[in-house]
Amino acid sequence: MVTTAKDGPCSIDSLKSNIAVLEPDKQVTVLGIEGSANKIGVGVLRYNPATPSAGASYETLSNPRKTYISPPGFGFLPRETAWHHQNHIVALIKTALREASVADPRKLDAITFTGGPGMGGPLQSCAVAARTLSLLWGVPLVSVNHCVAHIEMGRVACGADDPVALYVSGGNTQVLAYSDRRYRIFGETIDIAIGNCLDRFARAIKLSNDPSPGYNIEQLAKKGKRLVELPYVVKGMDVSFSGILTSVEGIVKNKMVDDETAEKGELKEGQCTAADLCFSLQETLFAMLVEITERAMSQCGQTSVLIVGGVGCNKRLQKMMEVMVSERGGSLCAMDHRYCIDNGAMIAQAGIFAYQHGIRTPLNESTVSQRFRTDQVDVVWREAGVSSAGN
Amino acid sequence: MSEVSRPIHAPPPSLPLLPLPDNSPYVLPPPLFQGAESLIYSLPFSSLYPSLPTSPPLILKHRFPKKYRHPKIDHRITKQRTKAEVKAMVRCRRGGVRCPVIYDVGEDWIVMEDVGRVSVKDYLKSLPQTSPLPSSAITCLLSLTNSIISIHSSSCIHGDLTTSNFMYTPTSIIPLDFGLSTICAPNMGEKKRKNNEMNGGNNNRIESFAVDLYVLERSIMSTHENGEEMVKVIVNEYKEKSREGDRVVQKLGEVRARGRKRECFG
Repeated sequence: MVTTAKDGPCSIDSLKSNIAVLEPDKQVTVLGIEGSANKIGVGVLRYNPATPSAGASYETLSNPRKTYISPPGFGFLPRETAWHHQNHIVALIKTALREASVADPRKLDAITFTGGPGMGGPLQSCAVAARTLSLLWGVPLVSVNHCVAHIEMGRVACGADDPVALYVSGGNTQVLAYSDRRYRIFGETIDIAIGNCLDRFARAIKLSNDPSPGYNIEQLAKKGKRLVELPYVVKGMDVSFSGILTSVEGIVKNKMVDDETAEKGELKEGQCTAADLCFSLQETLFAMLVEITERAMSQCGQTSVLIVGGVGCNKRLQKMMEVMVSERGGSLCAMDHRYCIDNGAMIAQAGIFAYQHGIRTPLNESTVSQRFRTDQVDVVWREAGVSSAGN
Repeated sequence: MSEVSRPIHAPPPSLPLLPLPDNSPYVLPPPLFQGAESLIYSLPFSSLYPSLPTSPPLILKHRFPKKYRHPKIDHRITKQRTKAEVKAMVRCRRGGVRCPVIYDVGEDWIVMEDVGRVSVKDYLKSLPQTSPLPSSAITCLLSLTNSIISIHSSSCIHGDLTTSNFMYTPTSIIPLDFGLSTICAPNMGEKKRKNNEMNGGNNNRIESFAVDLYVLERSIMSTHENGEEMVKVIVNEYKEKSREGDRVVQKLGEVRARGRKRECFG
């Protein structure tokens, strides 16, 4: 079973483990600013109190974003990425407010922004914007953990109360489950992130970074036929990708041939094409991810899975996960790209939860950090008693 | 140690009854339960040795094909893990570790001694969650640590040390699930080791043991309420009793510090 993220108002009825907010009858509108990596996004999110005809809901009113795309063969560097964000943030904020029909921004209830983790420069640029708006409009700040924002947006959008979350992006690879007010990390990468591995592989074969290296790998992988043997590195609940990257880079250098040679049938034993490598790399990496997710499910007795983060957009990963989950009699919430990819609305979503439970970030504490682990966040909006991890 | 009740791990109702391993000569009942990567069946001893009257209980562990994986990868991994598991268990038994006796093995299945259903995790959770730890918990943890020390002194790295991968019986603690294990270089002895290091050879043995303990530490912290205290008991015992304890525990500190770096990055 696949539930796709909804774009309209999302009811909160299915989120049973959420504690009732302090003022359930008050409409709340917040602005969310995200820019921890190469995307800058601004979203406006509104909490609509319950009416006689409908339950309370959260609605994304606007969610524009811009992506910094580096040339083929290059990654995005902190300084250039920060410049990009600084250039676009004002226009994005204006667009977001206009699309959401917010006439007077002083009436916003909070400005939420990414407190980390991420790249220092880009994070800092967004935090400066958030502080400026806060002072300008007299609106309180709420700092948000980027990883928690992904999960919360997924929970709301898919109506999944307590899933095992696989968070896969350019900077993160974690399997998470909620227990006792924390998102606990069951398994994670012990070196580089999955997205980093894919991006660097894309650079090695000179794939375009537009719209994203991962998307281009996915498309090319569809043409791959030969499965090239690559290392498969699962260590308990953890995975490792750096050795696989080294191995596949070696193959690119020594055994990869161009499509022309392959079409002429001049492929020698052990040789392969770029498409074959894309295919093999995806099959290997994703199998590892699905395996550690299955381990986490088995350990905490959970049946629903939520994939968040940029790599979660990959159809092949979703398909593999779906097969595994259905074999265990569970369900998979597939994510829509609007919430898988970094964006402002997800920051607003986690931020509004915190805001509605009384959390504010004073100006002098509104700093950012490149290091901010998912399990450091006190999840005040969920019941402490719900404990899947411990059972 | 007192007897504890046996929790029954019933298979989920939707669990498909998978076909039996083709190349196994056994007729199997429905699976007892599904682990993370295998199905566990109970197997009457008589199916193995019909002529013998005594019958210790057996189980068959089948690493069934994972449909989500490419068949080639799946086949490779399954074969690799089954082989690694058997190899490590035989090696550990030779080194005096009380792990299950292996009776038969195929490409993707193993018949072994049934050592009950109470994992160390279940047992520790059944005890009062007090601080300081109850003495029964400490006894159990010490015994667990000594089991790990024996595994390591057999030059075996378990690779997936968790409290649910050890079975609890009133007489012993039994390690299981060696599928991710590897064999490391033997203990070289002081002189040879120094020589080796001087020549630039790095000794992965200590590092591997430290990582093994680190995996255990992290899994305990995420499953047990008083995990921190438990880890202390284990590390102290390991340091004291293992011949290489000092070096492994020192290395563990380095591994932990390395782990913390992973706070980085969004």
